[in-house]
Amino acid sequence: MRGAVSDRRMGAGKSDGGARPGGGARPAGPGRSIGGVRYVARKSILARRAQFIASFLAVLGGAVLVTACGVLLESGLFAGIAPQRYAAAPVVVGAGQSVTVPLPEGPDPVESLPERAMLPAELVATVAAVPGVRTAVGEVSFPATLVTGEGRTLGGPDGGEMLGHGWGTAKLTPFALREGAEPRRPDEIVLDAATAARAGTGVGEQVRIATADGATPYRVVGLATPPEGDGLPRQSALFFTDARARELSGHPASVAAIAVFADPGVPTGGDSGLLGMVRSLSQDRDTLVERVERALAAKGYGDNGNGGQGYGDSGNGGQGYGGSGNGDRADGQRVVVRAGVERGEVEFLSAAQSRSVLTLVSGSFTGFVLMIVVLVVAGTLSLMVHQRRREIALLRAVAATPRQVHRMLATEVLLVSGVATPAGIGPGYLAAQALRDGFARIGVIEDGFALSIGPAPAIATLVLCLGAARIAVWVAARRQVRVRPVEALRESAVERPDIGRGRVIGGYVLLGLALVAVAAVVVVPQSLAAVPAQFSSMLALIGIALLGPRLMAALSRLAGASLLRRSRVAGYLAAANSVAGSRRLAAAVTPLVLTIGFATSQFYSQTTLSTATQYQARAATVADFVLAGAGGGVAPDIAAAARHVPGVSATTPLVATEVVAVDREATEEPLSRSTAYGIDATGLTGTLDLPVASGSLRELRGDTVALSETEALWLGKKVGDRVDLVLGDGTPTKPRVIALYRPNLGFGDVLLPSDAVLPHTTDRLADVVLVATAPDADRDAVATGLSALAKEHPGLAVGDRESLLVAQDTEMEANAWLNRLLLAVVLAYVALSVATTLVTITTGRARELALLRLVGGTRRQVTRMLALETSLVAGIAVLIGTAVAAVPLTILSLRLIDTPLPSGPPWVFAAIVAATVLTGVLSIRIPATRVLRARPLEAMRSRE
Amino acid sequence: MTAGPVRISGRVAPGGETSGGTASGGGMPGGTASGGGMPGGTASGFAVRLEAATAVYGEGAAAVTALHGVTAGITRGAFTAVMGPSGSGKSTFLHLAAGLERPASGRVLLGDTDLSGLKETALTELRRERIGFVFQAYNLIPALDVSDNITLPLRFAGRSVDPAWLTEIAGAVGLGELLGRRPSELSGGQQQRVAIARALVTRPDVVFADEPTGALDTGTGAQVLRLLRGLVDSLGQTVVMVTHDPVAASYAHTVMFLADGRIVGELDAPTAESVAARMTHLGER
Repeated sequence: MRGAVSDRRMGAGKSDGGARPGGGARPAGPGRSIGGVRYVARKSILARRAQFIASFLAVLGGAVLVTACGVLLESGLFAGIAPQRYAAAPVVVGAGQSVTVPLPEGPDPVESLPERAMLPAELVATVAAVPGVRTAVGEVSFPATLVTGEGRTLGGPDGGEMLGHGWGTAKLTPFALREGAEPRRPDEIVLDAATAARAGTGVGEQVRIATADGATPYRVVGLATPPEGDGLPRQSALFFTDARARELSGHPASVAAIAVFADPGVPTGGDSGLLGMVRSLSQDRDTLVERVERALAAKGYGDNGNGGQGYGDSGNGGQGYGGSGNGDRADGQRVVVRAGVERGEVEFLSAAQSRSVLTLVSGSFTGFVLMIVVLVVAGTLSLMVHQRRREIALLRAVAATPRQVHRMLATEVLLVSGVATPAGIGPGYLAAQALRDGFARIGVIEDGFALSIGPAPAIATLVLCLGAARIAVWVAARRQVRVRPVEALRESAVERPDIGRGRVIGGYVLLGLALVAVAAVVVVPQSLAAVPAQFSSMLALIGIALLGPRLMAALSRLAGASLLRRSRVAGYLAAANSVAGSRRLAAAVTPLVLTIGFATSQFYSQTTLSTATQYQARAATVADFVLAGAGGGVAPDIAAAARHVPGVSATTPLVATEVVAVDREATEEPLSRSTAYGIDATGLTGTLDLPVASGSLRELRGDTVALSETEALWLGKKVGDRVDLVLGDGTPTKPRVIALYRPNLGFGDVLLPSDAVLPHTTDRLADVVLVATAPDADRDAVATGLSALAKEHPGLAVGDRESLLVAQDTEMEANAWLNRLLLAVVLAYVALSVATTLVTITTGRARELALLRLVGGTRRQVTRMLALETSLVAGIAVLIGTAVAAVPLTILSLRLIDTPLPSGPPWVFAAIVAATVLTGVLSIRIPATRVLRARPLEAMRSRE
Repeated sequence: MTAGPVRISGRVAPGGETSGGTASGGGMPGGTASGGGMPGGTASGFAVRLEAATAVYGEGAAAVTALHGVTAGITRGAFTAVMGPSGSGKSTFLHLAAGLERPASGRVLLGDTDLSGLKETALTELRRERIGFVFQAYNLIPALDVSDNITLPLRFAGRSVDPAWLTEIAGAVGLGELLGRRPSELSGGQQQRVAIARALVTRPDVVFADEPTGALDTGTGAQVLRLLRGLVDSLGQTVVMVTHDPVAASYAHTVMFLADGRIVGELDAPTAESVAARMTHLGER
């Protein structure tokens, strides 16, 4: 053995395998030498703080995003919206607000129901008979509008709902009379005090209440208030007599929910959240929730765990409806029994949806964010590592094994991310709160939905972010560690511009696939056409990122020629730099291209799709007049009333809802939710002109349905077949297909008779009524007649064809906004990484810039050179980014709205470009100014 | 493990007597070969041997053969200069002899260890333990101070730093006062001294220097060369230096001439004039 090595440390030092030159297996233990590696790593960070700021910010931003996603995800799983109306009822029973099909394997697919599902009123007695139940109250709830004396219509507070109830259910909140008396006669009403104040009315005065049955006058006999405040925060309550309320609800034999009050000392159960789940596993199962569930299950009403309507084969030809265990009930419905914060799910239709939206979105978004974080962190780190090429080569030559270099870089990154990650967790919780507010504002989640704040997201963020940084540095170091030690002997680290063959092939393959995706825009169903368009841009962007250096070399050579003509010194240098440093240029341009291309493609494909819905709806509408309601909609009897206006030849209501088509043969996605319209087949002439491919829309009455060709193809149905549908409130139906019509985004994929749809909507209102005038009628006279009709019906507005606004696919709309919001967050993060990347690149050129100064370049000339380079970078980025988004968008627009120009506000594109370019320019300009301020000689010496 | 190369540490004591920065032991440049003695030509007298070593760069049609089956030995305890015009393969010779690269064919032996058979990690560890490097420039890690730079190989080897030894070599290269400085606070000559100290810190079999004075002015360069020669004469350290400067080569015991990837001659006890004459001769061929 060699001497002089201190014996004490000998073993440790050799544990890396040095004792066995060329030996295969290396001992796993890192040995004591890690101390040396860590020491160098720590010194290195302290000495180049500036360079590590980029990585620090990248990890910090990533930690903020991941924490926010985690909080949203946890909230999606465990949080809820606190009940308002049912605050006083410890347990609430509601109908399952979703539909499901049991699959032989894998999780059962679930679709949520857009309309309120009801419970049979007879169940109130069943629940009341359960031991431990003091009373059970059947809730009646229906949308209503208040019409003030001046004819003003009034909905709920802050865009919420105004709901009518029976006075017998006032104790659910509890509402107590502040003044006046309870309603005793059918024309008496009690208002909550807040509503009375908004309407400017009081006890003894007259108001009109509009429901699906029209507007009726009532006398205000009392004002009621909940325990706190004058009214509920997000809904108005109107109390009728119980009998009148049942009548107005339109479902006399049904209740919206059953509120359960317990005998003293009976545990209610139903703790929510992670803790509740754990507790419920260990606790006895005899809570009130359990008892009610058992009693309902005995009557054939069960909860299959996800609150869905079970749709299973139950042995009677598929007509049977219900999951395992209660298959013999034709109307066997799912019920949910809820306590604690989960009662909000029964009260607020969208609470369960809020949760599922949060779970779905944050679930998939977390993956996306993690990918971006790894990319950004890897990008920043690889740049940092690249700039230390020579140092690494020197270390390799004199001291460090490849593993040790890996470990040194990993330690550096661990130290940086170890500080950055915890620093980002706190802001992450705030960001989650901000995102929640944003979601609530765009209406994707219910306003009162509160986040569940726990430690789990913080722990997950620590693991994920440190892991991501570790992966990123491994990726970044992998290439650099292969640097041959002799590189250290070279005078300057010359860029190797060429990229691997695999990378080039991958880039071209992706560009090819992008073209295939563009072609797919023309082929797929219209409603899905935006998907391949966005996908195409994405593929092209990744392809361009792969081909980056090569593409930049070619483009900068092109651009260089014109730069050369413009200016002798600065232009020449800028052109030369850009061509020679094509890899560096690519590193600068690629994130900018990604930002512009991605944002533009996402935004405009969605706006174009939205426009297409209205465009196509108007294209198929030939009605002369459109009657629309204020707020809620139009009472369906207006259609009949309008037909009696002289000169009117035909009217049809448009009742927008959603149905779930069930395809039990399908192995994947047996449930598909589609926009559906209820129309009146007798009033189509002159109102609606939907081209029909086979069959006839005139036969659309009774137990029939018309499908779009897309939907028919998806379900494999033709005229004459029966199709399994679940209506918006969960009612199953199996109508006969009488017509297939050409796809029209404006009218969804399913047309049903309006009288078949109306009873299964929550508000039992039509969206609009289309009115056609007879060919010989005087149009102005008809308009006058309709205006007179509108006067009798508060809130009714008469418009022409162009005023038609069909309902957008709510899910699609909400998702579009959601995407925009999330995209904005991610783009802000990407912009941060762009900025840090460019700052790092520019700072790394200090020596080069100093050299230019030394050989006689004035500060002005060098600045000008940088400015030209910057405009080159920005110009190329705008050009490519726009092109990548424009090609699929043009095809999409031609397909959907018959024009090559995508629809949407142009300022968004301008803003995207401006923000990107500004980020780029500032990130180069500011560090360059600082670098140039230093004396060139010092810059030459102090930096490598 | 090995047959036990001559222990350098055994000769440390006289090094302590080498005073300050002015290495006096070597005497005048171009003077007669010092009393260190030239070990004989036996295999054990060579610190490094190349046996029919060939080096090829690039692939296919673009391949360039930088060394054509070179066989040579570096005498232990001597200062050997390797000279040749640009493109003669002298840098490649150094890379192979120092274990920075592996030959395409043939063998490279450090003592009795065949470097051509070693994997990258083993090679690194061998370089770290038994070979010292001084490069033309960019020798130091800017983030580390002088003392950390000197002890860098020890750190990566996981060995403890012997403060007495650090003080001794720092003194030997004349850096005693500067251990806390950063590389950016040192002159070029001082930076090269740090590099030399780092090369010595592991008590290596051989120190390789690649144009160590290439980036220095004449006076500073001469100091560095005297220092290297002094290390050989007083410590018995084997030093190999690649250079294209006849004056620099004249500090060596022996000069090895390379041209077109082959060894074309040797010159003992060189002077600047005799080296220059031989170089001119090489150029004419």
